[in-house]
Amino acid sequence: MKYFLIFQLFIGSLFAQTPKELDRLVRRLAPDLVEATVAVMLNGGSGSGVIVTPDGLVITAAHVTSTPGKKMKVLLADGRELPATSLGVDHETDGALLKINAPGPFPFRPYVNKKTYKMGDWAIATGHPGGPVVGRPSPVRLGRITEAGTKSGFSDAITTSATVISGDSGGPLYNLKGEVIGINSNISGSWRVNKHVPLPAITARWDALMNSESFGRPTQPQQQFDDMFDEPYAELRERFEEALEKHGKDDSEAAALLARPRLLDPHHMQALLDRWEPDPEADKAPRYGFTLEARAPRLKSVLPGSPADKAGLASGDVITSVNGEPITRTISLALTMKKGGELLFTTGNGKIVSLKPEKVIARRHFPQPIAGVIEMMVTDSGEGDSATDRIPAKEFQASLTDLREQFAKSVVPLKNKEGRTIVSATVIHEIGQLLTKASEIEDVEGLTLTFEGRDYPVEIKAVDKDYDLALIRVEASGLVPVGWEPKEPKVGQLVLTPTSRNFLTGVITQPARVAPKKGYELNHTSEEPSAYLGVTFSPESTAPLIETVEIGSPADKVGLLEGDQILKFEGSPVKDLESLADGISKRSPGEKVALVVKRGKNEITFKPILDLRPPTAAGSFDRSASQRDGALSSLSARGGDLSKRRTDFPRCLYHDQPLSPLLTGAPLVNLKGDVVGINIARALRHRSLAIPTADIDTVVTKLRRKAGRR
Amino acid sequence: MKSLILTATLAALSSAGALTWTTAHEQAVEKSTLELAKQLPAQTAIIGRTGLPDTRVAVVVSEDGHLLSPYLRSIDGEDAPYLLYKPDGSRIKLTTIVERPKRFVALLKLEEKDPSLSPVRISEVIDHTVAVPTCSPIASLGEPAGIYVEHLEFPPPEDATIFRLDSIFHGPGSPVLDLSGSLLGFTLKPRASNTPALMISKLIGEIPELDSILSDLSESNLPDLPLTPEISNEEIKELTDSPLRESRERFVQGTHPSPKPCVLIFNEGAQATHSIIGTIVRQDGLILTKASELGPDLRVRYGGKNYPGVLLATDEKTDLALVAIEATGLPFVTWTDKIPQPGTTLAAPILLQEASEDMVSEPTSYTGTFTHLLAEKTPAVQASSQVTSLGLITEQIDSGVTIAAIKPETPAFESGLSPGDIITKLNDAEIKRRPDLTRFLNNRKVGDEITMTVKRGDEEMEFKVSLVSPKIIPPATGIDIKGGIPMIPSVRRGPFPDVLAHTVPINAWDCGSPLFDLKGRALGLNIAAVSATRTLALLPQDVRDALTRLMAETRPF
Repeated sequence: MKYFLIFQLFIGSLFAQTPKELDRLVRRLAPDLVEATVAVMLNGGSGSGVIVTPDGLVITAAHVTSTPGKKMKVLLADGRELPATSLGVDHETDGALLKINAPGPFPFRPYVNKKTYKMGDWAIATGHPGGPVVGRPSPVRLGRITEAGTKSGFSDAITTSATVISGDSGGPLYNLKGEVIGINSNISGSWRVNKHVPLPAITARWDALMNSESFGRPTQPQQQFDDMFDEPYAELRERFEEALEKHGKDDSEAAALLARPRLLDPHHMQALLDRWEPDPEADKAPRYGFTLEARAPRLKSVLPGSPADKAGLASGDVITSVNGEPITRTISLALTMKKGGELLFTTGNGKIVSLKPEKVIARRHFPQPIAGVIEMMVTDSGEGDSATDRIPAKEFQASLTDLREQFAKSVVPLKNKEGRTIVSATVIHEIGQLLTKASEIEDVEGLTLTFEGRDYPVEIKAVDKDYDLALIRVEASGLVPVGWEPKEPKVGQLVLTPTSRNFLTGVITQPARVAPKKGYELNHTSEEPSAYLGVTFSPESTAPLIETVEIGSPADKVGLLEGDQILKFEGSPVKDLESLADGISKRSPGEKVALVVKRGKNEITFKPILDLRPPTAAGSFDRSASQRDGALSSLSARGGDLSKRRTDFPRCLYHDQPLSPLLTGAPLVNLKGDVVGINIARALRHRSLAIPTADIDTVVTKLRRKAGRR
Repeated sequence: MKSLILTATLAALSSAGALTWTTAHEQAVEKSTLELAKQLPAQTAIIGRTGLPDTRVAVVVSEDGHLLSPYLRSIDGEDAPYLLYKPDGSRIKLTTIVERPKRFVALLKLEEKDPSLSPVRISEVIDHTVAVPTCSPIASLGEPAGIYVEHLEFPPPEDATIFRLDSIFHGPGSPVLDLSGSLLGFTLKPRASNTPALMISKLIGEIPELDSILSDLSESNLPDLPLTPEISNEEIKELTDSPLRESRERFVQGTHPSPKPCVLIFNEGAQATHSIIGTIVRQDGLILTKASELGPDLRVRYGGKNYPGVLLATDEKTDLALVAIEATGLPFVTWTDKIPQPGTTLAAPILLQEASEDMVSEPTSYTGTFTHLLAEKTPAVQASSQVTSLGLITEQIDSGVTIAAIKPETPAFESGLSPGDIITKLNDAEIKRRPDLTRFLNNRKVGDEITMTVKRGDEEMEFKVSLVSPKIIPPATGIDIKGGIPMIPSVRRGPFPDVLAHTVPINAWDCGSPLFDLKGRALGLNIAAVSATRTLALLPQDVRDALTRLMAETRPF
């Protein structure tokens, strides 16, 4: 039996092409992959990393640690928070190392030092998207390698369709043997383009990195802050001040600044730098070479040597038409010119000139860092999808053809009166009862269901606002209800969503939980001690007098009672609450501690085993969490449409399919074709949500009762 | 301990929806804040600590010059004194009586009695609406404490020692006053959505030194002001959320002109969402906003519609930008040239950060009060006081204090000192640890010449170095300088022409909005978010002047 298993694993990892094998492999690997994934907590931000040796060596991204020798904390999967120091950083590849300063052994994963991966391979990414969230293990995401990388430096990146986002930076990309093959580094707007530093690029400089050496310069403004003396855009300021010295003699503005120094904002510094030392790599914008009056399209000045100057335009000329279109306002002229390209200008005094714009360095944007999460670098707006198409995905889909047939009569599109599909629906009873996403069909006029070429009018029977599910009814025959799987899918389990032709594939990324409102999903902060006893103390007294004991907590399990006064913790007397809290927070979950309490006249010894602090109920709003959620949403929305309503569901399955909002309402099924949930939202780049079957059961009962009452 | 009657009664609070905040409520609050703004300059002081870049507000608690101040960490663990910055720019060293880092407070004392200062009353009657005096993290010369009006998250139980403010805008150790200016307690570390504050009676119990200092609580010296709006008993219900703040925000929102002359401007293609508010200045689509927050590609959102925006021109003096969209018939702002009284309630329409167009969050409104008119080129208190620096960056190593770097353009740079030198003596004072350095520099003036003895290899060398004024570096963007306050300040926070400094708590992306009073008059344009409760707004006159400049000539196309 043992041999058989190993054989399976081996075969599986090399030829994991069939859905079943893939499902089994990822599910089996997932816990170990998550266990070795850590959050890297810095002052003002967090990234991810992966432990690669039992003594706590962590590989992460250079843009997470940014400099060698920096003190930080590492949050382990088991909730322990340990001090760490960054070793080498390589800004040329974005690879970096850090070391946990605590005795191991730690859970770790092996890494490759040769290019053992190729285009088309499956890969798994983990990390802490949006920063470590209280009570959430690192989500597991599955994808294919779409580019294995050939050159050196940043362009060498492994590109995958495993969706990562801010906060995942530094987290691992694994192959199906569970070896680290890459480090999450940057993304393009498209969901399908996720870039990872190839491990061989890191191992090539291994000794130097172990030696805390630093390569290259950070590619974006420093966004982590060592301490309060740090200044934003310090690196830009440094370059600026250097350039200022150099150009003080030949530039009047520089001379003036040297004579009377003042604090310039990054735009001004950048504009002057662009003038003195233009960066050939910088983004370019078209420029025809004149300024205008804001109220009318009259030329105010013409830049010497510019296309406008060469063509003979002069200040005072009024532009009356562009490319034959009459122009009366500066704004319309400006909008036309913004697009660039050759334009034919006609002026009021009879000049007709054709101008081809020159390319000048564009104005840049200096975004505010979002506190709490290290931003994922966005490299380009590149369309990576063409590469994905080259992947031998056909074979994989082919093996699912039979399964797809099963849903032809169970999953149907709903259309508005223009005949445009707006959402999907899942058949739950052959009399024509279906479930769909309520908020998508609200206020839609002429809602119809298309089945076997015919359109049927839809009647909304009842709506559940919490789960955003609607029970609808159509007078159609031949609909076939789906089969249900009440058992909750495991993390790493392969899940499918039937589309009109084939399936979307993905995995369950994390255990089911509430999908809270914007700003209600709290990040783990260092202030929160992870070890947990489960008692609260009376605020009236500085003495550690127990006021409440939480049910099921370690304190409850050993029989601590309200009114007990804690006298000793681990043999030393407890002076006040703070010293006790300090003591507990220095312990790890799972450690047994000794407490002596005074109960009445007796002194009793208890030995509770400290537990992991349970997730705080998603009941409180946090402004920085709200900022984070906003940033993640907007970054996600660049790759495709998100659902309008995508938060605030009582309980959800989390998966990583690039679900279109049009496919919400469609079932999420396992490889047997049984429904594990109903897709309810495309929530974020790395997150789709489905209402679990167990919850569907109660909701449907409620909906049917509501519908019956009417 | 003096006999303090624990009568923490929360007069009245109500559950969401039950209470409607009215003009009468608002007037009662404003009457108090206007009065409070007159008292605060005598009862509060701007406090700093040598070597730290930030300033905080402390309250005067005794006739003979005791102050209760936020605890400020000393950079090297010991000895750096607390400093009191006087409005005239002078700096007074304070004696530390006792520090309670875990309660985030320190009891300090002036060497000599200062007749310009007078003590606050103390009180234990916690009402639903309170005031927190605040200042800029880098206070400017002559800056008075601003007032931020706070509401309690829920009524504290009768025998409580802690009450909770429903915001997270204040650093730990901030004094909390009632609306008559009586001291109620000090804030602790902000939590996820509220800030607990320790009642003054609890503090007195814990700090024996306080007991003899604080004046007795007696009926006679209680003020007869309308403290807070009276809220009827029928409205008292169990409180779970924050209905006071919400109902007040709703009320204030209703005082804005409608439709609001505001748009939301998105930086297209920016890596993090970054939107900013714009103020419409002409019906045909001309908008003013904060220039330094804009990238090259703009999308403007107004009335549920998106317009491509063009950046026509920027003005360096005011950091304003002229943005245009192709639209007509837009509501535009009308300015009122009126400098309000300190303590006047002000409001800014806020669009909680909109991430993408399909996530239009409800517009709301934040309120604060006017603090003072900050004149152009007002120096920071630290820069004008006698804090000295060697112009060196030092590092503590086992064998002593070593020079890590030397700042250019300082006497030290010219002197021949070199990074790596180990400082052994300043004049006759032996230097073994960095605190020795701090201690030495605390007692010197800018320009003093000192003899520095260093060890370079095995050789001892002497250098003459004159002391310079330290460079005040603004705190980094996005940093939680006051211990866990998630607040994103603007990239550009100065210099500006004369500006209105107020306490409306806005973030970087809320700039560009008009600053309204409760009559819906636009008194200014919010131009910089400096810290959680410190915002700067341009005066209408400067906005108009800038608009003239911006209209004259666009940037090159």
